[in-house]
Amino acid sequence: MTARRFSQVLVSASPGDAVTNEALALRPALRRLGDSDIFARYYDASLAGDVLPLEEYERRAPAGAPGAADDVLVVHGSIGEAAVASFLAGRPERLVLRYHNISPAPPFRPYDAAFAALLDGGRTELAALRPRVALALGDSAYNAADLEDMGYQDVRVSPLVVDPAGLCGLEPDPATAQHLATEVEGPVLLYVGQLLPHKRPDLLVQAFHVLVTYLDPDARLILVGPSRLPAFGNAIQHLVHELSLPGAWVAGPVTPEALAAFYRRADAFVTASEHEGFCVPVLEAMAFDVPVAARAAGALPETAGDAALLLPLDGGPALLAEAMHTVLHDQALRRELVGRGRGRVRHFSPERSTDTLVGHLAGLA
Amino acid sequence: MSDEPEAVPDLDDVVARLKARVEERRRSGAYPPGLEQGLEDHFRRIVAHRATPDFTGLRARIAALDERARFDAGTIHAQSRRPGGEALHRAVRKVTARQTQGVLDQVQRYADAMRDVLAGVAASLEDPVHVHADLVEQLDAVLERLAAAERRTVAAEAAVAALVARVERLEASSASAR
Repeated sequence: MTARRFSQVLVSASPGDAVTNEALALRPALRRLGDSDIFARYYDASLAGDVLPLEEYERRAPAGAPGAADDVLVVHGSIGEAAVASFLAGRPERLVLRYHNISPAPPFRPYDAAFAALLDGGRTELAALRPRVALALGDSAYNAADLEDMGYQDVRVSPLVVDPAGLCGLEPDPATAQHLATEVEGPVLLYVGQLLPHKRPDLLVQAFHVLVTYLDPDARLILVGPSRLPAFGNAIQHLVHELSLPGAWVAGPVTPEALAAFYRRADAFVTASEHEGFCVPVLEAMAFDVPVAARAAGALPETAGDAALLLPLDGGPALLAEAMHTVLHDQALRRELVGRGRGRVRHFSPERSTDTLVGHLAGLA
Repeated sequence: MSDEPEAVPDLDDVVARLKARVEERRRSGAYPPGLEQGLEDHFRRIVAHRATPDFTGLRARIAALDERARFDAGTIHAQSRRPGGEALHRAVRKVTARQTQGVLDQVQRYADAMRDVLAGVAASLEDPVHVHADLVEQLDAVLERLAAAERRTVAAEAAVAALVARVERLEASSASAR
C-alpha cells in the first residue's frame, strides 16, 4: 500500500489554538510524504485558504477513486461533532487518530448542557471509530492512557508539535506593554488558559486572596484567556469583586502580540488546573524565563518535568498561596526553575516533535 | 561573594516546606479557622444562581406527552372474551360514534391547548431572562457584605483568642514569678 495523500481533519480551527497550530506546523512535513491539506468542519475566516471546508475533501478525493483506501487521514480528536464522525464513517482511507484529549463533561454540565453533550459525544464517537483506526497517537502519555481506557490498543506517544519560543520572537503589543509597565506595579502572577471550570480559575483567585491578605499585599494576578461559558466567566469576575481584589485582573482573550507582552511582564506563571492533556502555556512561560507553579494534574507533570513547582491536587488555596509567594520571592528557586525551564523548551523543540510524529506516519506510507 | 556552590533546591522538599508552613500558620491563628472552606463556600454561592439547569429531561417528557396526545376512536378496541361480545361492542361503537368523537374532539382541543401552555412554560424556564439579572446583582451585593461581616467576625475571634492566650501566658509567668 502506498499513500499519496496525508490529509488532516479537524472539527474546528482557529488562530492561536494549539491543535490548529500543530496541524499547520505538521503540514510542510506531511507534504514531503505526499499531498497534504487541512480540512475542518468549522474554521475562523482568517484561516481561509490555509484550512479548507470539510465538504471540499469529497470533491478533491472521491471516496470511490482508485487508491483512496491507501491514503491516510490524520484526525485530530479534541471534541465531538456528529458531521465529522459521519464523514469519517463514509471514507475508505486509513485513519490516524491524533488525540489531544477531550475535556471531562461533568464540570461543564451546570453551565452549558449542550456543550457537555458534545464532549460526551466526542468520547462516544472516538470509541466507535476504534475499529477503523490504523494508528493512534496521544500527544502525552496521559492522553495515550485516556485512549486506552476507551479500548484502543498499542497507542503511541508523540509530543504535541508546539513552538513556544516562536511567541518570544513576536514584538509585544505596544499598548499592552505600556499599560503593564506603567499601571501594573508589584510582582505579577500570570495565568494563561481558558476560563473554564476544570481549569479552576476560582481556586487561583481564592489563593490570590490568601496571598494578598496574609503574605504579599503588593502581588498582582492576571488571568489571560477566553471564557467559553459566559456564566462561569461572570462568576469569576464576581468572585474577584466580592473578595475585594483590586490586584486581580481578568484580562480575557488577547492577541499573540499582547500575550507576548503579558509573558514579558510576568514574574511567575501559575495554574490551578485539575485537567490538562498537555498544557502549552506552561512551556510558553518557560520560553519567556518565567518560573512556573502548578498543580500536578493530568499531563502537566509530563510537560513540566522537573522544571515547575508542582503541588499535590488535594492542596487548597492556602498551599497554592504559599507556592505563589515562594515562586515570586525565593531567588534561588526562581533561578533553578528558569534554568530547568529552558531545558524543557529545548526538549519539546518543534523540529524534534515533528520528526517523531512524521516518523510514526511514515510507517504507514 | 561566597565561593560555595549554590544548593540545588529539591522540589519535593520545597513542597514539603510549603505544607509545613501552611500548617504552622493555621496552628498559630495567622490563618483564621475555616478560611479555605469559607472561600469555597463563597464561590459556590456565587455560581449557584448562575448555573443553567439541564432541561433535557423536561423536553423529553413534553415530547412523550406530545406523542400520546393523539386521540382516535379507532384505537378503542372492541375485542371481547364473551361469545358475541365483540359484535356487541362494535354495534355500541357504531351507535355512539358521534358522541364518542365529540368527546374525543373536546379532549384533543384541551390536550392541544395544554401542550401549548407547557411548551410556553418550558421555553420561559429556559430563557436566560428568567434569571432576573437585576435580582442576581442585588443578591451578590448582599452576599458580599455578609462575607465581609463574616470575615470581620472571624478576625475578631482570632484576635480575642490571641489576647486570651497572651493573658494566660502572662498569668502563668506572673504565678511562677511569685
